[in-house]
Amino acid sequence: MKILISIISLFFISFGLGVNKESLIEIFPADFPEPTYDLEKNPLSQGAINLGRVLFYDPILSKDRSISCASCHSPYNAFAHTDHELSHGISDLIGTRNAPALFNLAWQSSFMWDGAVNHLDVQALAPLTSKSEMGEELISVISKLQNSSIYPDLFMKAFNDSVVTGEHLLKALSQFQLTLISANSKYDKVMRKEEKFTAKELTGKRLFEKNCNTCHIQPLFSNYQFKKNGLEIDSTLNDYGKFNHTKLAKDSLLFKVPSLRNLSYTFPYMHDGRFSTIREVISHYTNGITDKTAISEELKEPISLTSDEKTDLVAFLLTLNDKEFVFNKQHHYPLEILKIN
Amino acid sequence: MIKALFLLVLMHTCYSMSSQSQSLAFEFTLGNQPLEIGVKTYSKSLKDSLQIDAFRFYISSVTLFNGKDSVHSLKQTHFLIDAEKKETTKLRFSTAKEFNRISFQIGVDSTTNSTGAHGGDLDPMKGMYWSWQSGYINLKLEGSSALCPTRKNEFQFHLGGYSYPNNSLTEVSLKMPKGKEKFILIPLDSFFKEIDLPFLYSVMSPGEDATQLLKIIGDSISSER
Repeated sequence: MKILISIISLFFISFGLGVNKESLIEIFPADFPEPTYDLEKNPLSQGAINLGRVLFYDPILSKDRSISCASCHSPYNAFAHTDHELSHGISDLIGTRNAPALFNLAWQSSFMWDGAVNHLDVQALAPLTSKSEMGEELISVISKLQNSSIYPDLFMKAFNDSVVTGEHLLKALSQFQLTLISANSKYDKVMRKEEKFTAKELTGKRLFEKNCNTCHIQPLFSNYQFKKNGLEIDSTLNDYGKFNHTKLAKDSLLFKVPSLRNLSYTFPYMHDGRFSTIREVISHYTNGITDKTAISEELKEPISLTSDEKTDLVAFLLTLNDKEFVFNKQHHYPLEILKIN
Repeated sequence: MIKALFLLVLMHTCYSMSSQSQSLAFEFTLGNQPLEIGVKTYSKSLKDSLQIDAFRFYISSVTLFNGKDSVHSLKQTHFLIDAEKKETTKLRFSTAKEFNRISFQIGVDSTTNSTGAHGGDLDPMKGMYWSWQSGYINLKLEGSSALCPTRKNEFQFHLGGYSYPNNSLTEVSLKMPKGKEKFILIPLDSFFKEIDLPFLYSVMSPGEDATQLLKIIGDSISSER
C-alpha cells in the first residue's frame, strides 16, 4: 500500500512541477480599464519578467550583437528614442519609422504604427527580423541563447524548462513589457485626489477635452485606433501606413493614435518623427492641415486655439509626464539579475 | 500487494497494446514518382524539369468519419507536415474504428493566428510565421523551374492569410477506401498544371493569389493513386 501511495504522490509531484508556483503579480492600476492582453495564456511570474528584461537589454538578439531592444526603446525616454526621427539598426542602417514609446501595452490590441502586428507576443519578431533593425532570424537567436552561459538557467527559472524556444522567448519579452506601466503622472495623482492642477493646467484640460479627447481618450490618452491626421506624405519615405499591409484604399494614410503620456521624454513626434516640439504638433492641428478631404471624421471640425490657449494646453499635456515610470529601476538595465546569474 | 500492483500494470499495458491504433501517411509525388526534396525531376505531364527545395504546410482539425458520424478527432490541433521529414508526414489515430472519410483544414485558423505566441509545431521558430505582419504561413513551396524568369529560376510560394477578405484556410474532405491501406496523396504535378510559372512564381503575402493557390492544392489532394 505504501508503494501505491508513493507512486501516486510521485505522479502529483511530477505534474506539480509544471505549474508556476509564483502567484500572479498584480500590476494593473485599479483606475485603468480592463486590459486586452490575456494573462491566462501567459501568466506573469517574476522568473519570466526577469528573463524578458535581460533579453530586452541584450544585443545578442541582433545579427551582429550590436543592437538591443533598448537601443531604440530607452528607459530614460519612456522606451522611445529621443532626438531620433527614425529608428536605427545594425550596420548604422536607418529604418522608416519613429520608434514608438513602450508603456501601457496591455491595453493595445494591435502594434506598430500601421497595426500590422496583432498581438504583443509576436511584435518582437518584426524588429528582430527587419533588415534595417536587428537583421536576425529567430532560429539563429534561439541557438545563440541556448549556447550562452546565462540563458538556459534564466529560461529554467522562467518556464521550468532550460530548452530555449521561440514561444518562451516571445512570452518572456511580453511579460517584461507588460510591466511597463505608466500610471503615476501628475494627472493620475490629481485623478486620485493626491494632488491639484494649477489654474493653467485646468484650463488646458478643458481645451484638451474640447478638442483632443475623442482620439486621445483618458486615462490611457489614446483609443489606439488608426486615423488620418492630415500629415502630408514625406516623399523620401512614401509611407501609407495601414495601407502598406492591407492594400485597401480606405486604409491609406491610417496611422495609430499614440498615447500622449510622457511627451517630454519621447520627442520627436509622429510616425516619422517630423515634429520636435509639442507646440509644432498642436500647430499642425490648428493650421497645418492643407487637404481637408484626406483626414478622419474627428478632425473635420477645425481646431482653433489662441497662442495663450496653446500654452495652457501644453501645460496640461506636461502633467502626463510620468517621472516615476521613467526612473523606475525595475525597468532599467538588469544589473542585479545578471550579478546573480 | 506488490504482486497485485504488478498485475494491474501488466493488464494496463496489454490493454493499451490491444486497443489498436491506425495511421495515415501523407505522400507527395512529382512526375509520377515519390517527391524527392532537392532533386531535379522531369515531369512528363508538365514537360518541365522541376526541383522542389521545400514543401511544408500546416493541417488542423483532423476528424475521421464513418458515413455521417464523426468517429474520432485528433487532440493535437495543428500539425506541421514537412515533405523532407518523414516522421512528420504520418498521422496516428488511437482508435480501431472503421472510417471512410477524413476531413481537415490546410492552414492555421484565425483564433490561433490572433492569440499570441504558441509552442510545439506552432512555434514561430519553425519558420512558418511572417514577422513584418502577424500571421502563420499556411503552406510553403519553394524550388526552381527553367520556366521562372527569376534569379536561379527560383519560385517561392509562401501562402497564408487568416482574415477577411483573404482568409486562406482551406477545407479538405476525402473519401477513404474501406479496409485497404489508406494514404493522403498530394500530386504536385496537378498544382503546377494549374499555374502559369512564367508569370506566377512568387507569392509571399496574403491576398487573392495565396487563397487561390491554396485552394488548388486542396482540390488536388486525393486518397487514390
